[in-house]
Amino acid sequence: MHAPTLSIRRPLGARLFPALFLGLALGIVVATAWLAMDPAGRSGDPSHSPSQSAMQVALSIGAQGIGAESNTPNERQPVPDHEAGARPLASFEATVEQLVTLGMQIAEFAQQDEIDAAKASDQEARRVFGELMERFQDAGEHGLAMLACMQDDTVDPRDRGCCIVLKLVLDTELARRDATATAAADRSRIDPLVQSLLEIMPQASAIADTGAQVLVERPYLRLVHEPAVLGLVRLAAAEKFSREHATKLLLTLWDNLQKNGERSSDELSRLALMLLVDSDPSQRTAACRQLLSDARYRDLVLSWLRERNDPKVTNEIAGLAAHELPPAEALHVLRELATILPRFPAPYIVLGFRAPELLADSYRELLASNTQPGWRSDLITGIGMTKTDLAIEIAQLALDNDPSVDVRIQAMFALTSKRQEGLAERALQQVLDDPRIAQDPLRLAAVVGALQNLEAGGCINALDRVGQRLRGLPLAEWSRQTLEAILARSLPGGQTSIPAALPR
Amino acid sequence: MSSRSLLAATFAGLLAVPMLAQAASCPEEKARHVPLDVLYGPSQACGGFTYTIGGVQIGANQKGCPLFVIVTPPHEIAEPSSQQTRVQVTGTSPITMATFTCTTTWILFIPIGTSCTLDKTIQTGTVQSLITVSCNQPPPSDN
Repeated sequence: MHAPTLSIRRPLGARLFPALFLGLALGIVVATAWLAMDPAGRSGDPSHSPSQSAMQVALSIGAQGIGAESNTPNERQPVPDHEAGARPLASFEATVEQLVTLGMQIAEFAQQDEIDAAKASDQEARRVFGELMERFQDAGEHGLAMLACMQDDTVDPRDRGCCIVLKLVLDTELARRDATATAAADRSRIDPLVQSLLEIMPQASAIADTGAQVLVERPYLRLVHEPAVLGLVRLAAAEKFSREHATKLLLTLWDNLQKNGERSSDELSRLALMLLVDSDPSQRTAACRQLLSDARYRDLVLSWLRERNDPKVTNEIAGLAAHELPPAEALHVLRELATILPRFPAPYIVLGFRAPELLADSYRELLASNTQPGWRSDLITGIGMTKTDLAIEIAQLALDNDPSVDVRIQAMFALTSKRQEGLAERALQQVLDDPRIAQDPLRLAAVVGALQNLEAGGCINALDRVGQRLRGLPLAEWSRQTLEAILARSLPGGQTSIPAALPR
Repeated sequence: MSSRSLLAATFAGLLAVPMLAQAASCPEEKARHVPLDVLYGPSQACGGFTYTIGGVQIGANQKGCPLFVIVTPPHEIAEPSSQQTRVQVTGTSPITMATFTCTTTWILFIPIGTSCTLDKTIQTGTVQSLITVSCNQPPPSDN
């Protein structure tokens, strides 16, 4: 007896389903491969990945059904591009390159005086830049990545243009992140960006310049960046980083620490006192500036400067004082520093542009008391180089009335600098009428120097007359050579209209 | 005092008089070097720039376009000395002030190209080159 055989037969549909499924899968693979080879297909577009194309094809086939596929004639049909209007957006790098090209176009149009074309390109540049900043919320990081590739030995003018565009990007990005950080009291997006910028600054001077442009005298450096800034100061000491940038970054950091309350004025002053004896010039300058701005410590710094007696440091601090201290306090500091550097007119010119009236009043007082001729001379330089009516008024006052020969000579420089031929010639002839000047070769050397202002102003006739007179005076040999060189450049054959008398 | 001692003292005195006179006329000064100084004036918003003034390259690193730059060349000043020395002038150099203008202020967005241009250079004064010489040396002639 045979055991009963159990035979179970599945329905026909159930047996056909795996075959249909396999067929569908095979169809998808074949269709995908065919489209992938199609040169007109979407897969040729680099902005679309092959997987995206395959997926789209599979979905398309799935929608039509297997039967539909089998009835379709085996030839390619043009597929309408529904995304024709939406071109792939340019990358950050490509947009920066576009802005560089636009910037160079603007410069070229401007050089050729095609003002309308330049303005149109400028508007386009602003539009493209606006789009860039809107599309890339991480424009700062993108910009840093591009900036980090900059090298110093490049001769490509586009690289300079690229630095300018990246500076704009970083400027804008830092400003918007700072605004957000201030509003939300959260600096987690701006501080790391600033830190990264500080870290790449030593790589190349082009990067350092760009970094300094966006960080110096801006509110972005905070306490968290102090180690990085001090790192740059150390690199400057090893001559591996710009001393100027290091000093300015440190000054900015200290300003920001005080403004933001991260360090009090007293804390900074105490730190400055410690750093004053530091041999590093950047830290020393920052310390001096901090202490000079605090009236309690000003005399201490002046005393320290006198004791140190270093003309270079004194010049630097005088320049800082002239730029940054309130004018009256700056004038006081400059006056005190005169004991170290008897003549240093440059800071007075800076101060003269800020407060000409203050300098004029000081000069009038000193003239009335006939004291401190050296200081009077510097004051005349400071007022005389400004583009004010006061400049001519005070310089003429000094030339007519000041008993000091050196002050009168300085007034002559001020009056010859105005490029007014009559005024300049009168001033030169007036000082030459003074026998203390006309018989002194050293002072005559200064008059010859002032003659260069007539040359630069194209005052040929005055140059001819004053040149004749100077040729007859007892000039030092080097002054005579300078005079002859000026006359040779300005007059035909270097000949004055009337031959000079023999030197007395 | 013997006549011989008196004679010696008189002779020594005669020798000392010119020496004392010389010490009195010696200013006891020496030359001190002051390095080159470049001072930038306030800035105006503008493009970058690079110029060479008096052999010194200025520009590029500063923010914007300075209203002026003052170049004081290296020179010397006289300062007190404990030695019998004086200073002697060997030449003068001009202090130069260069003023700048921003010529294309309407195109500031991408300031490629130089829009900060040199306006003029002015001699604002002079500084002296000095050397230290012994007071025993005769002073130089003027020419």
